[in-house]
Amino acid sequence: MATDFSDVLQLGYDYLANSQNNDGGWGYRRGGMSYVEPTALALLALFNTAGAGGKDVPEKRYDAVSKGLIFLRTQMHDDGSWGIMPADTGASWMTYPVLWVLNVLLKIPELFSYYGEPADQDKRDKAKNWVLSKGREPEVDDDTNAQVQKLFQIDSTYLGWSWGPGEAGWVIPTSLAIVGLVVEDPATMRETTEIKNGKDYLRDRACPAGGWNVGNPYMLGKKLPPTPDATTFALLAWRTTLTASDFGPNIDAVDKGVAYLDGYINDSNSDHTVALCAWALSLFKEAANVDTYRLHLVRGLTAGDKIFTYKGQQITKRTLAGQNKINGDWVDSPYTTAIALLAISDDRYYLDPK
Amino acid sequence: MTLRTKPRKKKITRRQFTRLLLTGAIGGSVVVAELASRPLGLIKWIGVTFKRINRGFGSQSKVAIVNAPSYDVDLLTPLKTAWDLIDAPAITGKKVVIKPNIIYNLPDRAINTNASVIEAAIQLLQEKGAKEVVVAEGTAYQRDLTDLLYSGGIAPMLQMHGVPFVDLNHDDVVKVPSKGGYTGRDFTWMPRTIAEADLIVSMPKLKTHHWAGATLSMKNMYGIVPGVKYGWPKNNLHVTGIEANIVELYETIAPQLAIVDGITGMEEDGPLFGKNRNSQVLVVGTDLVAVDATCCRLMGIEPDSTRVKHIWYADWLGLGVMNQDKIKVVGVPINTVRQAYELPPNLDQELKRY
Repeated sequence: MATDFSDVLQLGYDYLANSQNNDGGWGYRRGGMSYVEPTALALLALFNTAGAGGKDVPEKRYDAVSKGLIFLRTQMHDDGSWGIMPADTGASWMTYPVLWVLNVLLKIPELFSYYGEPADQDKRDKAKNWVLSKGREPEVDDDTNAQVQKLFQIDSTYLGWSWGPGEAGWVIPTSLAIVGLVVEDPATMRETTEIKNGKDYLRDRACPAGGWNVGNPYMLGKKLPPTPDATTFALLAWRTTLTASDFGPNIDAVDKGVAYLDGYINDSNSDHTVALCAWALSLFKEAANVDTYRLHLVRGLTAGDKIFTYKGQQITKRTLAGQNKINGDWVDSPYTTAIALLAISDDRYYLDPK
Repeated sequence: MTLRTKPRKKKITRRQFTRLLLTGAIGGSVVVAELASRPLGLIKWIGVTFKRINRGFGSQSKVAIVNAPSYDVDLLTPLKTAWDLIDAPAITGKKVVIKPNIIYNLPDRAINTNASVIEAAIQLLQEKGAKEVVVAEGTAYQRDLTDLLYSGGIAPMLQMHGVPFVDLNHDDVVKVPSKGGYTGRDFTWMPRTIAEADLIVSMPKLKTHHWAGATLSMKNMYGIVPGVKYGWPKNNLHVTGIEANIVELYETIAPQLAIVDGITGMEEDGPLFGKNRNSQVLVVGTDLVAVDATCCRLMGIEPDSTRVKHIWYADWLGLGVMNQDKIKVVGVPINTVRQAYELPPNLDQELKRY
């Protein structure tokens, strides 16, 4: 029988509501400056029907979501982009997770009736237009492409999405842009040139042994290893875009990415990385395994503290602490906590909103 | 009908012609000089030239080299020796940020600044009366560096000394005017921890670098800029010119001390895939240009305008000194510890190889 995580989720949602900044945003750490990315992820986590997206929403959480959306709405630039935080007047990759939030909000009628505004549709359209026109990396000439192919063994005719306008594409922004775009209407968006090209980009950037890193599978002929953060976001993108026609190299890349995270999760000393791994794995693995990942994430190190030896001295450190049983957080970070809550919830509204 | 008389041609006198010629020549020269001195601009170029002339009469920069046979011996004593040999900065009552170089964890490769050297620096700075010592890094290849800190022994060591670690990639940020104007950026977003520090210590590893020739205390400043704004692997900074960015970040951040981990360095294909090379030294100084130039010579590399451009560039701009006759090496004579490191691959040749 699957473990009941409802208490864990409730504690976590309360933590998010309690850790919101006065301006309505959330930071990478509690009390830290409000950034757009953690705010978007906190909202996605709270949109859960058990969080603040269903009936009988606790008032504090309702207010938190309302204020969070106001924070995002007011940060939008005229061109449809978002900076990384209020003082940043430049366009940034954080537009992608906001597009994701707006698409989920607009797609779920109940959610929209609680929190939506008529202008959200227009904001979403402008954001989508910016992501498609300015977020994607620019095309390169044949000479540059040939040089890049020789140095990095990647095909730069596949266009990904960048951290900032006009820059090269990288795996994490590409993955976030794909998810942000596809959730609007998966059946239609999966067939667009941009998304198909984005999938080719991700397959091309996969590390040969499995998984993804920033976007350099090779460096001057040598293999660069994958990292859990990029692999998690790439797998999220694949989860929203895989179709029956993907059998072959695309599925192979996904399987190898899943196997990499499956091997990594138990060795990690980082709550944040375990939350990322559990999130991606929960989207691809069978229920029994998912339960194990989630328990690992919630409990942290259950077999006692971890002992590190430094210069002959034993240092005890509970590196993987799991959920704080009083405050409901992970490492007192709204960002990590939001990811952990998305990993623990069975609700898939945020990837396939209906 | 009115007859219009043909206007008489005005004759230009010889004196007027000479004056015109002279004005044109001066104007043309200014335009040529302005273009030739870009990206600095003529006025700054004149300032730099005066700075260089003045420096010709100034004192030498001191760089200390001390023996340190391995990471398993007492490193505090040789570091104290080095400290006493240089004109060390005042530490008492200051908030000090140590910036090591932590990038990736590849088995058996000397990539990251070793925990033992960071530990010795912490002990020294605490002994010298620092009000607070913080270790901070913003790694370029992944967003969560917790596992890197554990695998390298840094996290347990910091715990043992009660020293906090700050992830610069996700810190609060502030807008800082860019000094120098070499990249076209008017300002740079900086982590608050860096902006509010009284003293910054750059602690790199002694390594070659396939793009920059060598990666030492100035190049180490790349790790300070926040990933949330500049992305991972902070490629935006490569696009606008590696040398220009290194020098601009150095001038803007203004670290006052360098402690280089040269116990085990990296030769050939640094900063990740090179071979380990034991140089068994620590290099310490307050003029980071002089420190880096000395480190290059320790590796058998002359930091000229072709091989390690950013050092030459920084010297030319008057940010420090590079020439041997301007550097007073104290401690161990450089000739006794110099080794011929294998040089990083020549990228032009690499392009032909693939």
